[in-house]
Amino acid sequence: MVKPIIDMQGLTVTVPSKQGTMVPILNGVNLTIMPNQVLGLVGESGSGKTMTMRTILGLLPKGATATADVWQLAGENSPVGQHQQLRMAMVFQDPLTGLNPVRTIGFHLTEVVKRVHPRYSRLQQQAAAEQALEKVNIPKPTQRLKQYPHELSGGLRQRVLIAMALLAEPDVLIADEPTTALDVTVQAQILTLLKELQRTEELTIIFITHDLGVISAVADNVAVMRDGQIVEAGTSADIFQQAQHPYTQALLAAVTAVTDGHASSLQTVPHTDRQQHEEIWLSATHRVLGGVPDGQ
Amino acid sequence: MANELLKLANITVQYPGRHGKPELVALDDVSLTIYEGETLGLVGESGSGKTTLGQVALSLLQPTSGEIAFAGQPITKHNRRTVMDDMQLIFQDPYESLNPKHTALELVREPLRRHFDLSTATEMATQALAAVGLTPADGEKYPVAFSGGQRQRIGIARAIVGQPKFIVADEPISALDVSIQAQVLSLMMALREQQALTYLFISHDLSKVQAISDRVAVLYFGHLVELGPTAAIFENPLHPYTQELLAAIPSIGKPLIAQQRQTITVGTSWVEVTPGHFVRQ
Amino acid sequence: MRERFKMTIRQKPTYLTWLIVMAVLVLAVLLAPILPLHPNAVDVVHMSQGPSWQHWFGTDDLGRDYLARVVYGGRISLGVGFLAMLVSVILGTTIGVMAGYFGGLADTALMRLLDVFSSVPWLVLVVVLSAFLRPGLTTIIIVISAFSWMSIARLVRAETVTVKERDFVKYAQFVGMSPWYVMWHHILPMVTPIIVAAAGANIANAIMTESALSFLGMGVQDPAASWGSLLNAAQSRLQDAPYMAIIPGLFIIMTVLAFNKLGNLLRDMTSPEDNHG
Repeated sequence: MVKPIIDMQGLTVTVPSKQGTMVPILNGVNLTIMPNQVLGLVGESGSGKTMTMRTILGLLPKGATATADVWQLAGENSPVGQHQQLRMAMVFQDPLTGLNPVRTIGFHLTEVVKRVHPRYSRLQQQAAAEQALEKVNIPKPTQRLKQYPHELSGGLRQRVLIAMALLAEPDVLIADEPTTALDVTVQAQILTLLKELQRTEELTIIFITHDLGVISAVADNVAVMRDGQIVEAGTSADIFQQAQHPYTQALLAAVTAVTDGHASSLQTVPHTDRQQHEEIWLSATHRVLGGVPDGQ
Repeated sequence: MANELLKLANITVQYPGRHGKPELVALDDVSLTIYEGETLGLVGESGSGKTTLGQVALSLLQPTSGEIAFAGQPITKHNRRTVMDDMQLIFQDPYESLNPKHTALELVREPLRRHFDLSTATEMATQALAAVGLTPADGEKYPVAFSGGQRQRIGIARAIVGQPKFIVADEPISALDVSIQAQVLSLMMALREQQALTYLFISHDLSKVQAISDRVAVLYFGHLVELGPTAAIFENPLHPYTQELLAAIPSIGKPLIAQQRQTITVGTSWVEVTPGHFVRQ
Repeated sequence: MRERFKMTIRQKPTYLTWLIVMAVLVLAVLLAPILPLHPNAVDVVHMSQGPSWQHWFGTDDLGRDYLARVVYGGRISLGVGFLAMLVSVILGTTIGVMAGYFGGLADTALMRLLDVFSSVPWLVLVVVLSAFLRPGLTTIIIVISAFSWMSIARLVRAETVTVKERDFVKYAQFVGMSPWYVMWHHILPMVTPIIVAAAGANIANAIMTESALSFLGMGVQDPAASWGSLLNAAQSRLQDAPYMAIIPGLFIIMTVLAFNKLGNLLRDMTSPEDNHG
């Protein structure tokens, strides 16, 4: 029986507000992430997906408190927000801010290599950097190492970020809206690349986005977040073919409405009472947050 | 046959080379006519020139060569301001397009200031806010009190308040959450019916354009490569770039196809393959 | 606004102390006419006496109550400081906004003007001018503001250049609003926080400068007094009546610090993300 690589139950995170009170951002998040797959974490702004990611990375904001009933990494219990057992790397949305404009690509890559393999010689560092660029399908890697970020297109820069993440030899790769700032055709290439890398490097990828179309292209499993809770989770097929939660259904409807021109028939989904924690299992893989007012 | 509202003929926008940078051709001989009452979707990725074309359409940017006519009259230095007064603009970023120190009412009133007195303008602005679903009480609030979708509504109210003949919407829903995108889009469509508006809807995403556009124009590195009715473009894309764009859109249930990006050579002839459906070959 | 204030105070409680100090100073100075203070009343019996129960700050060499003289001196110093700051701010903002907004030739011309003013060794110039200019409050205010508008102009210009590029400004320009409308309704409200924060430091500087000028004899003339002129008068009595110099000196220091802190507080309030002491 394969153990989950990250298992959290009842994760609650509160942050101090401007008035000095504690505001809950995550309200009992239950998430089980299996290794060697792509998990798509879907949510709009304010859903809590960013905070969930920050908790996994151990990057909670100052003054925040995090508690969980279960927090297991690689099968072992650990304090919430700690992650020493797992190697993690991250790819951000904006390749521009992820790269130092006055440093070459080679510098960025060898920086990561040095941290992972402090004993490597310069030649070994360079070889590792070139190898990483090849893995992300960047042609002429030797020349690229000498280039600066502004000389590269958005898509290439994003590939560099992915290469940097790979060099950290992570168990888990977290990608936070990595293609939102890119053109559609470039996005398609990056998504295909990520799927392939997940296979060849045996990675677990957590792919965070608000774009359901992107999720359907990359994710094996999907978790839908709203108001600091996971409202529905399951395999890609579960979510896209048999969505049960009204919010998931509304999101799916919104995507097709925009493309099919039925936009006028949309309603907003009423926010569920935050006290509802009842989880209903529809199948071995598919669960939904229950106690939802029906009828839209 | 509907009236020609905005006629762009042979528009070229060229920036000369400087300090070692090569010259940049943002738009290369683009000809496009927008008819009264229609919504034309303008699609292209970065470097396509779609934003530049939007600026030329609004007379914000003078093309290096080419002619522009509005409602049958060529635009000259003398009538430019009057022509521009009949046009409006909706921005992409709901957080940047509104002055945070002005109330919603003040923001919507701004385009009326040169033309109407204060009480008439206030009256019109209040009605425009109502048309986008905001109350007079909302009019007194500042942008910080509104969500992204609501701010975009304010931007739309501001655009329609003066009853313009032509509106350029530059990526008006790209910065919004998916469920809000559909709402704002349906608002724009409803307003179009009520007020007989003509839209130029600029987007980098074909799928967003599908719902609202009557016709679609595809730009590729400054060249107009395909133009036709929305259904025709989506069911029968003729130009290889249009086909690549369509295939690259990640949509539910459809496998993603990523093509190795080769530079597509752009032909020189503009051919009408079926009535109203043009392609550059 | 109020929340920002409370939050900033909570983060740095010392701000509250300085605010109280400043409030006390300003109140004392404003209420002076209704307080039982007589800066010009001569008490022949107690001349050049140190602090005592009758005269809390002692008396000067003409037997005048020093507390009264310091408080009334504060009226001049703070008043001049405030007015000079006002003139600087108006001048600096106008020049900064116009240079930033219009750019091109206007910008170059105004910035060169700014450079000229910045490079003049003003103290030398002032001393030279003092031979020609009639000493008095108006002169001081003009002189001070003429040499302190530049830093505000630079700040305002830089901010204007940034604000100018924002979409809502482009929109106003698109619908045909005049440059004056755009500068007044859009640029100015956005640069105001910068100005307010700079004004705090500017007042502090103005008070210092006024003290220096009065000390040099350019400012108020006897029997009126400002802290600077009090310092001037105290020079000759440093040995036997040091309090005559120390007290106004302390007040200058306290006030300048308090206004600097106020400027910092306002700056922190308007940009809570980057708080640095």
